[in-house]
Amino acid sequence: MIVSVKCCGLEGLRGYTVAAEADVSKGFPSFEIVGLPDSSVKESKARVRSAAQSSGFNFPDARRIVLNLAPTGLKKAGPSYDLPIALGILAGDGKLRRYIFENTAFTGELSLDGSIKRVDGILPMVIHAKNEGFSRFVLPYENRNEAALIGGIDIIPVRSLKECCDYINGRYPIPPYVNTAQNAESADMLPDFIDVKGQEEVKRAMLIAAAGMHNILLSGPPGTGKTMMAKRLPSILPPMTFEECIEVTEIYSVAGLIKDSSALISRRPFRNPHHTISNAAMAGGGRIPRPGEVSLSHNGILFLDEFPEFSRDVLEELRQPLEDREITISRVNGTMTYPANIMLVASMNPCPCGYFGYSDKCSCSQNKIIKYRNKISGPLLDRIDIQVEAAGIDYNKLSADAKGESSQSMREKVLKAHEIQAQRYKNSAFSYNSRLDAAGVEKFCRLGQNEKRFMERAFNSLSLSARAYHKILKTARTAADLDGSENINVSHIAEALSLRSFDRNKV
Amino acid sequence: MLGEKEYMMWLSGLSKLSHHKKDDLLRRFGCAGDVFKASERTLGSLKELSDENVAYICGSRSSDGLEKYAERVYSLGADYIIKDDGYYPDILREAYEAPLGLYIRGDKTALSKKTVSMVGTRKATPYGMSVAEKLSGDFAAAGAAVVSGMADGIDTASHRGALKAGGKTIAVFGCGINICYPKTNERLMERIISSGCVLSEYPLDESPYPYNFPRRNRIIAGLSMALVVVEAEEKGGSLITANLAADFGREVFAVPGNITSRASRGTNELLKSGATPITEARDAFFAAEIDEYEKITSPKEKISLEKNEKLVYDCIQLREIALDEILSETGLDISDVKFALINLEMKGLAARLPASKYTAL
Repeated sequence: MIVSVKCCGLEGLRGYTVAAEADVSKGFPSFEIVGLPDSSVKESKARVRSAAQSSGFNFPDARRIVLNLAPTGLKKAGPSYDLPIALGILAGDGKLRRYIFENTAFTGELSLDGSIKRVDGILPMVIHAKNEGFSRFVLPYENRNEAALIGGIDIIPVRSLKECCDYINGRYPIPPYVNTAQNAESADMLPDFIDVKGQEEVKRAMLIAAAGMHNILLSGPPGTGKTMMAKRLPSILPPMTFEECIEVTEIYSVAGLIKDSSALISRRPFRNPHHTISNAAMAGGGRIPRPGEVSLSHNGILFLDEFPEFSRDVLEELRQPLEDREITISRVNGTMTYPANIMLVASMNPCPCGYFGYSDKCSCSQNKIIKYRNKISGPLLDRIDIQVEAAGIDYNKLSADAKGESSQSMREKVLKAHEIQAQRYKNSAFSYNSRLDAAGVEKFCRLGQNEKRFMERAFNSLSLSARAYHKILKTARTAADLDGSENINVSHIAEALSLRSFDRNKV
Repeated sequence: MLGEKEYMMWLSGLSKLSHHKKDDLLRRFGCAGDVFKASERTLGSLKELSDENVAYICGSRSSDGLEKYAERVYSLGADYIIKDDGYYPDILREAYEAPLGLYIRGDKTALSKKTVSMVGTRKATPYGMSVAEKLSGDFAAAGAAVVSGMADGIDTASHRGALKAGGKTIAVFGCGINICYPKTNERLMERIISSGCVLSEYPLDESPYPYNFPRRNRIIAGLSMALVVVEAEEKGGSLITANLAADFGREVFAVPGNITSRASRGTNELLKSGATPITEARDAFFAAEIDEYEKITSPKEKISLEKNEKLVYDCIQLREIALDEILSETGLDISDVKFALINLEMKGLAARLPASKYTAL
């Protein structure tokens, strides 16, 4: 008797239906799993057998069991097939009612005692099942909150194989799970810019960066609060829309980073990998590629502290995702594309010792400084619109009572600028100034006669490179939006010019 | 055809022979050509030459080789000027151990100008760099050629300042003139050659050996009518150059610096021991015999400032000041201050320094 139990496989963020077909028949006793299982799937034989026995079933040892995972052309990996395999065998042995298998998907990892453990990637699986027209998804109890984010499909959380079988046989009804307590991660819990004293230029630069979603590079000696300020950047970004939340949660689901308590990721991601990070960890990788840091920062911020210390390969890897807003990784077992719509925030010291220009104790030679700065390649620097220097710490400032602008008020300004941009780009594929290409700059950042003359004079007298031209216009556009001004005027250009410190500081 | 010029290339290129011995040979034979053609016996009879010296000299004499070498020099667009040459600067001829000849690339007429040498540390501070650039620009604008060594730091800023002002500048190398040292100055070297010249007493392909530089410094000192030390640490080539210049009877100027600054220790020390302080290019005009006073115009008088610009300008005039401090002192909005600063920069009144600091020019 052949039974087909449906479940879901994942290729990156894309789910596909897998049928676990079980044939339990007379013949020489054997147990075989076919359909390109990898070793973690093959091992499920042992788990399924023990789990079935622990749950009070007699495992059909004396029969010939063939289990096929269709489609047979795709490689299957991971423990999420345990439950479908067990159910297939038990149903094939006549222990379960079968009507349910038509329109229900199952997933779950089995423990030897028959309990069902959480699996990674639930969210994209549920999304797929819903799109495929399944009416019910039976999944581990621990994954219930994450799965319940998607409406339109019944979520049946189960704790053990026994519970699951009783449910199927109608002996133990389980109502579809609805997540009533939507966890509210709010921006209020984030560190606030109000704690930052002084550093007005950096704060202003961050405000502009957030308003246009520009990438930003901070430079300054150790201890000036570069990291502190970067960590406060998420607090001035507007909250994600529900669609954006789902996008992010899907990625985290696949990466296995969802904690049960906070199923929906509603806070913008802020990732700060250490500079010893490998290529694979940054871009994504593994035998079956999993999302890397660029994708885990999707819709949020990727903060790279000590920017020049990252290996050159890792930095160059960022170029494509910064341009295309997604990253494609090819490995032996497949090619995956993960979204990577990030805002890059990088910080660095001005020289190897960290004090060039800030203190007399800098003893770096010009050569060393140039070498250090050249670790960041031109093309990568080209993708960073704003460069700003932190001021050296002034101890009088630190003790002053005067508080800086709060994140709340900065966020409101950012929000307003975002709305203006959304309105302006409503017919375009993008919605931020930083995403403008050369043609877009020509169209949306038009300058008046006066402004053109100013720009020309500035380029001649401040020795700026022509490469900076478009970036300055984009940043000026954002400054104008923050101002609520329809046209870019000279003071907006001046502001943008002052945010190119890296170009302008000859060593 | 080999002439005295080529023979002198050969003689000066004999690196194992001291400058004194070369001078003695020239005095005895009258010209380098005769040294080249002298028989081994004649040379052997000279008491100032050891047998080793004689063998070395004889072993290096190859007409074919010399012709080929000279060909290479000329094909580089370079030339060699010997002491008898009209281009050989008189003030250098007077210096102690004046080089027998100089390889030169670029505009020879730069050598006939009034010269000011500018030297300083390679690890210059932003203050030193901006002062060097400013002074050198003013010297160049007044018609003098600025001489320096094209090293990192002050040297680079000095050449750059003169080039920016559209004047002449001369770089003296401690290596062959077909070698760019430091490599990072390749573009600067091209610009110097196109609107000034580079000099060296060393033959082509000579590497920048550390021991070449103190000898190179005597040429910088010898070429100068006035020597300006912009920033110097307690020990270093700049002070050697300053001492040499003083020995040659040239006036030494030092730019006063902050007494706590590492890069101004040497210059402050020079001032204590009698160097003349210099705060503007004009201070050195008399020593350098520059009489074109009128060419330097004071630009600040002609420029009108807006209200905010004036506020900010008053702020930055006192010292190097961080943006944060300008904000609190003027009480202006950050956008307004930035706008004023950019305008001041474009008017040439302010400069942005590293670390988000500003200074008046």
